[in-house]
Amino acid sequence: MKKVVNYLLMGSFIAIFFTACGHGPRIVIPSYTAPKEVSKLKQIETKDEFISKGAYLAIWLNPDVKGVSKNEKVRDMLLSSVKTAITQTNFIALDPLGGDDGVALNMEVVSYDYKKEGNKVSLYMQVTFTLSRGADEFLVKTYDKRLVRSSADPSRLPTEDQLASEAVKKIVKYFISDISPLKTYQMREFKPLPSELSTVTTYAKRKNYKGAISLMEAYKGEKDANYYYNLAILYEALASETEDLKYLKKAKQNYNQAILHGGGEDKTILDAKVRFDNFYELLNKTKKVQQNNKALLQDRNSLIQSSDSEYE
Amino acid sequence: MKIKITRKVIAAFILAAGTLVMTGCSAMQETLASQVEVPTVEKQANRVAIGVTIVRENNIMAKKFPISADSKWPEEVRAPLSDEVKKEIRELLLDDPYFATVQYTEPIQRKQLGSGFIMNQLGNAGQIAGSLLNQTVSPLTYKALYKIEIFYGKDPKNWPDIFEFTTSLSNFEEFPGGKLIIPQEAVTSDLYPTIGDAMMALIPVNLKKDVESARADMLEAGEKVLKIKRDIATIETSLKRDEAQKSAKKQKVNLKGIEGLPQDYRPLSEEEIQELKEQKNVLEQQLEEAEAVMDEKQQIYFDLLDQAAEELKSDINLDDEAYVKLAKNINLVAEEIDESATEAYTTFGVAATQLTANQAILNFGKELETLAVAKSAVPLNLQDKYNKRIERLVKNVLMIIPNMMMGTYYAHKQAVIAQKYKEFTDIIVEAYNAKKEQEEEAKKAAEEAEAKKAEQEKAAQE
Repeated sequence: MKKVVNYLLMGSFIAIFFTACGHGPRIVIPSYTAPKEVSKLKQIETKDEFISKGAYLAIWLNPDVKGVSKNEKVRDMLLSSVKTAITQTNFIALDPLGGDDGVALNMEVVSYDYKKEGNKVSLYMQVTFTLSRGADEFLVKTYDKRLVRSSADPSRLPTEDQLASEAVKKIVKYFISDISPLKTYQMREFKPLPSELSTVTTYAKRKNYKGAISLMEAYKGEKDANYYYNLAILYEALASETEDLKYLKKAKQNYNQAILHGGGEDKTILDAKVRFDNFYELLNKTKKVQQNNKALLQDRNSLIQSSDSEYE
Repeated sequence: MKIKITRKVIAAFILAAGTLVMTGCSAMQETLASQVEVPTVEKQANRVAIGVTIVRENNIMAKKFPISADSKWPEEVRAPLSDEVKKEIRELLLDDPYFATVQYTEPIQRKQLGSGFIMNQLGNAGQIAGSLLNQTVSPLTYKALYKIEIFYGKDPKNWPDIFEFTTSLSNFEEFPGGKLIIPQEAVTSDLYPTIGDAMMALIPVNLKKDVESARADMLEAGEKVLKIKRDIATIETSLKRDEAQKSAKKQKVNLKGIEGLPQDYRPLSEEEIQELKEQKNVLEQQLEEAEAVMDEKQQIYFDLLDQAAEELKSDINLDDEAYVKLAKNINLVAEEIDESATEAYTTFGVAATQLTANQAILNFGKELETLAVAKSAVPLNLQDKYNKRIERLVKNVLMIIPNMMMGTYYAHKQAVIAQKYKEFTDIIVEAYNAKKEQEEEAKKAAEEAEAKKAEQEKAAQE
């Protein structure tokens, strides 16, 4: 009988062991996607010693969108979508005037097909994006999107313009993510914390990262890889929410400490650090480029103002 | 003292078995139910038919039903069954030849054939407990029929016949007959023909083409394997049919008295048996090679999906509501396919044990005789159903093993891919849930702070 009880207990432990292996508390933090055509970024750079000490990244958006005869509204949709996507991170500035030395973005709707049959509507759109400096077309990309919607109740189906707008947003996102970072999300998982710090994850879940960091920084106990990793993700979360480079630096220091304390052996820590390193580089670069682009925009504003006063 | 202990053990066992049969998970209940039932070939045929039904339903979910962010069917197939639905299914089953007559034949069969391996060890108490615990409609049967209703609609006239095996295995994953009601609701996102196609919509753009191409290669290699599997199963059927006929003859069962049994069967000669066995050997070699190719293609596809999953972890598109809803729906379907595949394995495993270890197959002649005896217990208005039941049983018995073989193969394939899709979509679903929880917590914290501030202001004014 004792044996049976022992077997049952052992079985229960095994069952608990296999079913209770969950994960730690998780938080979602804003992040950046890396531009896919990194090698082309050099070609977008414009060097002008009078405007900026470094090089600025800017494009002039050609308002003459070709191939929109089937739906004229697509022109505005494309222009507005590109502006929205580009200004999401302001990694690339929109040059309002353009110029012979600048980079122009030309767009052409190569294919557009809208169909409505009974309970089904579909739209196919293909757009070519061309980045050029003068006669040099250095990046030509074509993206397409097919949307198919159906419903037993046709009145619920989206209109042609609604479909076109959705297709445009997706196509533009594909293209802009080639040349610019875009905002996105990543997930981070907390490692076990000492019991004195059990409230840290509650703070983090309420997005009170500063409060969580204060609790962590006040901790006087033994600091291991888990401690530094948890502190690193809190600083990373704060940096990604505020885009403040001071917190980004703190996050980097703590990730490094986590690795120094043996965190490199832990997949969760290592994966998070690899992702953070990308974000670290992107945010630093974005901030630097934004600074350079600012000089360009000031120059353009002064040009616009002076031409206005001349007109007056 | 000894008697006391034995009684206690029997009582404890019956209580434990009863509790598990009534409350455990479906697969566990099926396994335990097999230990209290009359070990007949017919029950195993029905069990395998349910396993095959589960595999075919998985196929509908994986390859036949279009999916979108607006699809309601993924939630429906995951929903627990209400008592009302169960009652409805029980009533519908009364139209089936087996379920309409089993209550009249079961007591006679239990007396003559026993109550399953474990219950037989418990003697008379086991016999009584066996009949008390026996569930005519198993939880897996309820679930399988519930899904049939989702896929084929409320009217059973549009349903496929799930309890009769087809003689051809060439289109195993498809139900023979039935009229599917294809869902088409897709207002906020696209309608994808299958969950595999919908998965491609979640893959990061730069990897999409590679993943799509690897998937096509894997599907093509899978088709080659299946063709060989079907050929082997057909040979197996011929050999098993011959074996069953010869065994019946050996046991001196009067097959001529049984309706529906093919009367003109010619036994295979030794040369014919040998030739079939040789053909089978050649096919088995080809199968090994084809499976190696398919495993390789599948691995390439899975490696690319893993790569896509790694990229996804750096760029989770949580602002696109339709994208998240689609991921959630794929996740639900993948989970259902995976769980159902385990249930299908269980039915095939239990049936195989009952047929071989518990010797149901060797007692098939006796089983037919007990059914012939039990015919008189069936009311006159159900005699037609009884005849159809025997006819179906005799047809089914030849196809049990090939169906088990094919079913096990398909269930495994379905589960492996479903698990991969689930792993991938888990990234999106878990991130979305974490984000939602954070937003709710932050909102709650802000409201609490606001309330506290108002309280303090009020106190200061007073």
